[in-house]
Amino acid sequence: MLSPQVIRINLRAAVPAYRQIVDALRAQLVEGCLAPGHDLPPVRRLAMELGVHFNTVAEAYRQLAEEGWLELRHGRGATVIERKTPTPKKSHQGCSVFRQHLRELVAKMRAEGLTAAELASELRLTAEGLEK
Amino acid sequence: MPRVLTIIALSFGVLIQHALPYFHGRRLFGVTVPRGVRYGREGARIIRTYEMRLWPWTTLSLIVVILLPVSARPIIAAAAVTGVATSCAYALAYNASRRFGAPDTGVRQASLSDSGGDLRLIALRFLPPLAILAAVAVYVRAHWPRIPARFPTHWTLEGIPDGWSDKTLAGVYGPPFFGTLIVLFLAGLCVLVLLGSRRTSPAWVAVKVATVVAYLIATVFAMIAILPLHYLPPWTVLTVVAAYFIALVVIVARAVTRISSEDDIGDFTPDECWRGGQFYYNPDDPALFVQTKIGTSLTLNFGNRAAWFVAGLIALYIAGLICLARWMWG
Repeated sequence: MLSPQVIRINLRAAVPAYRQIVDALRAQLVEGCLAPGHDLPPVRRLAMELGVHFNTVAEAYRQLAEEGWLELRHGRGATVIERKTPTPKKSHQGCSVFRQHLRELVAKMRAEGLTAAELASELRLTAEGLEK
Repeated sequence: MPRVLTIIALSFGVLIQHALPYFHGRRLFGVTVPRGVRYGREGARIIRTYEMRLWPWTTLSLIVVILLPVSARPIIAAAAVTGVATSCAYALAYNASRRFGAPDTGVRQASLSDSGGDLRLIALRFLPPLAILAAVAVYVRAHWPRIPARFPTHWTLEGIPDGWSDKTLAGVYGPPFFGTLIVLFLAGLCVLVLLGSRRTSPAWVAVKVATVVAYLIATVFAMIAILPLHYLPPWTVLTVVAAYFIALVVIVARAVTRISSEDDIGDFTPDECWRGGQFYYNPDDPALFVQTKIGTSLTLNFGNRAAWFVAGLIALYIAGLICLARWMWG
């Protein structure tokens, strides 16, 4: 278990590094580990710590700023801001992509021996944890 | 007395050279290996071979220093012999360890706290040594009439003066000025380390060591600066140096113990990017300084173009200091 305010990525994974950074940061933002007003490290600092190119981190910050989580400060990094919860869209395409990802993940875990009940329980606990 | 000091210094060096394989609990001669190899039969065999290659040379050096009359040449030769023997034995052990190297997992991690106050910390740490040197310069200026036209500035270990200075600006203010330049150099290095390295334990150890060295330099040069006004017996300088040396040994020993138990995720540098186990070259790594594969120090990432600029700057500064010292004190 990682301590809060620490992110971990895997440069050998198939998922691009910037996407891993976005996902890891978003998870912490949703869980409330990074509260509004929190200053994230400057782009160069985070890139150096993770051993990735500066543009990779800059792209991740930009994406989270577009989602409304961060306010970018030129040359100084980013600050977490209060984000208005968007109204859930009943977008058919969004749901379909989510269902596809979930299906792949569930299949992988079922293949590794987890039962449907265990998976359902895990999913409920994760969703409830994020709600808090 | 000089013989005893020489033997102690050389023995300490030899001890470090023999202890090199034990500096990091998860690496074997700088190569990240599985635990089973590090503490298994293969690891023990490689370490034993390294020690067997080293023993004849370190023993010979100690015998030379103990038996021959004390003079610079045998001491330098003994230190050079052990240094070369260690480098060769280490290179051979590194090659033997490489085939057990574990692949890079690719896992990297970072803290999300924005530690923006580090440069203020450096300023706070380095202000006192600079203040010591400035205070001594002011004190000497206030007592200028009392300074003799010629005064001793260096003594042999027996207490006989063997170096003299004149009552000139360079002769009187040279030591505090020179000390200030060295302290500023160390402060600059610390700033570069904090800006250009991952915030892992070795980076903080490097800053701590540089701070202690800055205090040592400031104290010694302040003592030299007041010599025109007050006689200080050689043992006082030796005591101060010994006290700072003990502080350094404690800091490094504690750091080695802590770092050897840490995982490599904080500052993982792929084994294939280390040339001969000593020089790091990784153009994909934005870090300027990285943790060395042995010990607790840092080294430059020569795959980063800025590293060449920094190395050149450091070399120029050191060359400048040497030229200045020669100009001031002949």
